Amino acid sequence: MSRGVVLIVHDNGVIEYHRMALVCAWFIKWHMDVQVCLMGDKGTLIRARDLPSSEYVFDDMIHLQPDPNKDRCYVSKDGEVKKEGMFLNKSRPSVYELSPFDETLLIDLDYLIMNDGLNQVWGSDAPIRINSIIDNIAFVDKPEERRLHQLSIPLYWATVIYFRKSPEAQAFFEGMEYIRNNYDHYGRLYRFTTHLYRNDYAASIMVHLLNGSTGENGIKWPVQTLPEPELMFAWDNQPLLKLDTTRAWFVGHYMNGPGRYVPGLIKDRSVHVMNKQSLIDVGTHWLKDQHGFGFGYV
Amino acid sequence: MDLDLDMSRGFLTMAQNSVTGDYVACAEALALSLRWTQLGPHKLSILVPQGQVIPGAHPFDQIIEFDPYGTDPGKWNAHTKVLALQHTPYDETILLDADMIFPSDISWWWDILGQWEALFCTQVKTYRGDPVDEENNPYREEFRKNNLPNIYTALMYFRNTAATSLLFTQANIITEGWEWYSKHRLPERVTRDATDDMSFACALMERNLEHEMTSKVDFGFSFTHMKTGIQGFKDGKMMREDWTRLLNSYIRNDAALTVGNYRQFLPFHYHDRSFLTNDMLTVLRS
Repeated sequence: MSRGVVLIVHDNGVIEYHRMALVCAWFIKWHMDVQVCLMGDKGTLIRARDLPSSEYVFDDMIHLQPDPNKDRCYVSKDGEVKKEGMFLNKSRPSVYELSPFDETLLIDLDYLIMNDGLNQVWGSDAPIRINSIIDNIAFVDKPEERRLHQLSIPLYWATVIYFRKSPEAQAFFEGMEYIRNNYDHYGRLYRFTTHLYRNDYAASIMVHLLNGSTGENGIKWPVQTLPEPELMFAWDNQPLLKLDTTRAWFVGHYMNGPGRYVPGLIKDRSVHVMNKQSLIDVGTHWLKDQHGFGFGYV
Repeated sequence: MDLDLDMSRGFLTMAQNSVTGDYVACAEALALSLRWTQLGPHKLSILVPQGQVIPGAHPFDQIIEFDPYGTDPGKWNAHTKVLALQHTPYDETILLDADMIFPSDISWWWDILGQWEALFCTQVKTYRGDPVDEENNPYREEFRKNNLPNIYTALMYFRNTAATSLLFTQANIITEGWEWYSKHRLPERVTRDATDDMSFACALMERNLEHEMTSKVDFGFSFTHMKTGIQGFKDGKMMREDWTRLLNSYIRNDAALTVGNYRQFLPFHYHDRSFLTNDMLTVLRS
C-alpha cells in the first residue's frame, strides 16, 4: 500500500508558495521520511523544480489547475503591512482523484512538521482523519475558531487531512466539491460568511454529515481525529523568528513599544504558521545553511 | 384471542389547551412520532379536562377526561401531572410533556426502567447532544437555592406501587397547598405558581425518595430540552425563547428530525410552539 504526503502549490503574485513548498517538504522529509508529491499549476511547479535541491524533497509533481477564489489579505513578516492577493485554494477537492498514493496526508504548505507524530496515521482504521481542536502559542480565546458560527457545527481544519482511497473518502471530497459549488446555500444553512471560500468550512460540513450529523459528542465514524488531536497555531501577528529541526521561535506576544515582544518557543510540535512571509524568509534562510543533512541541500 | 401485549406499557401526556398553546395538536404530533419510531410500545393516551372535545379521527390510544378543578384556561397549568397515576390506563407508564417529538426508537428503555418504581429524568441535553450544565442552569436557580432534586417531569416513568402512590399523593397535596407550602417549607422564596417539576421535587424531598426515584447511572434516559438559555450559546440567557427563529429544522415523514443541522435521537422537547407547523403535522400524518 503506497503512502505519502501531497502538497498543493499555486503562486499568486504576492506569496512565493513554491519556496514555502520547499521548506515544508524539507521538514516532512527530515521528520517523516515519506514520499512527497507536489501538485500545482505548471508555472509554479517549474519554479519549484528549479529551486536548488528540489529533487531531493519532491518525489513527484502532478499538474493541478488552480481554481481562482477572491482576493484575501496577506500579512507581512513584521505583522503590519497587508497585501491583497488571489486566494488559490479551491482545487483541494481534486486531490482524491489525483493523489498517487493509497494513503495520503494532505498538508498545507504553511504547516511546519517538527516531529514524526503523523507517521502514526498510516494504516488507520478510519478512512478520514482531521482535527477540530487547536492550540495557540499564547492563549487566545477565539470562539469563532471553534465553530462555523456560534449556532453552528464544530470547525474542522483542512490544514492536515489524512485519507485512504475508499468510498468514504471519495464521498468526503466529492461533498467538499459540491459545497464549494453551492457555497452560498451552505453558508445560509450553516450560518457562515461566504465572502471567501474556505476548505475548512467545506471539510467541517462533510465531517459533520459523514459522522451522522451528531456533532462532537456523537458518532466518531468514519471520520476521526489525527494521532495528535490538536493543531498548534501561530497566528498572523505571531511571525516566525528563528528555526531549527525541532524548534521554532515566534513572536508570542507584542508588548507596548516598537519592536518589544515576548518570544514563544515551540519544540517537537508541528505548527501552522499563519504568517506565510515569515515562514518563507526564515525557512529559506535556514535551509541554505543545512549542508549534509541527508538530502544534500545547498 | 386477540392479546394486546403492549397494553401494559404505554405513554401518557396531558393535553389541556391553555394560554401557552394548543396542546392537543402537540399531542397528536407526539402520538404520530411514537407510531413512526417505536419498535416496542408506542401507544399514547391523553388526559384532557372534562368537556374538552377532540373532533374527528385521532391517533390516540385512549382519551381520558380528568376533573379540571384548580386549573385556569388563562394560565400555564403546568401542575396537573399529579393526576397521572390515578388515570393512566397502563401498568407501566412513561409520562411526557405534550410538546415533544420522538425522532428515534427508545423501546430498549422499558426493560431497564422496570427496575424502578418511578424514575425521573435528571439530566437533559442540548440539541447538539451536550449535557446541560445543571450547576448553572438559569431555569433551575430556585431548585438549587432550595436544595431540591433536579428532576424533569417532562420525561418520567412510573408503575403503580405503594411508593409511587405515596409520591403522587404527596405531590398532589403540595400542589393544592402550594402557597402555604412554598412559604413555610422551602428555605428560599419561590416566585412562581406551582409546577409539576417543583411539586414532585418537593414530594421526593418530603418523602425522602430521591435516591429511589432518580438514577446516578446515565443509561440514556434523557431528552433534548430546547430552552434557549441552556443550549450553550454565548449570552444564551439573553436570547429569546422562540429558538425557531435561530435554528433551522426539518422532519421526515418517519419522524427523523434535524435541528440546527444536528440529527436528533433523544425525545425532543421543543417548548416553542411555533416549531410545530401545519406542514410538520401534515408530514407526520402522511
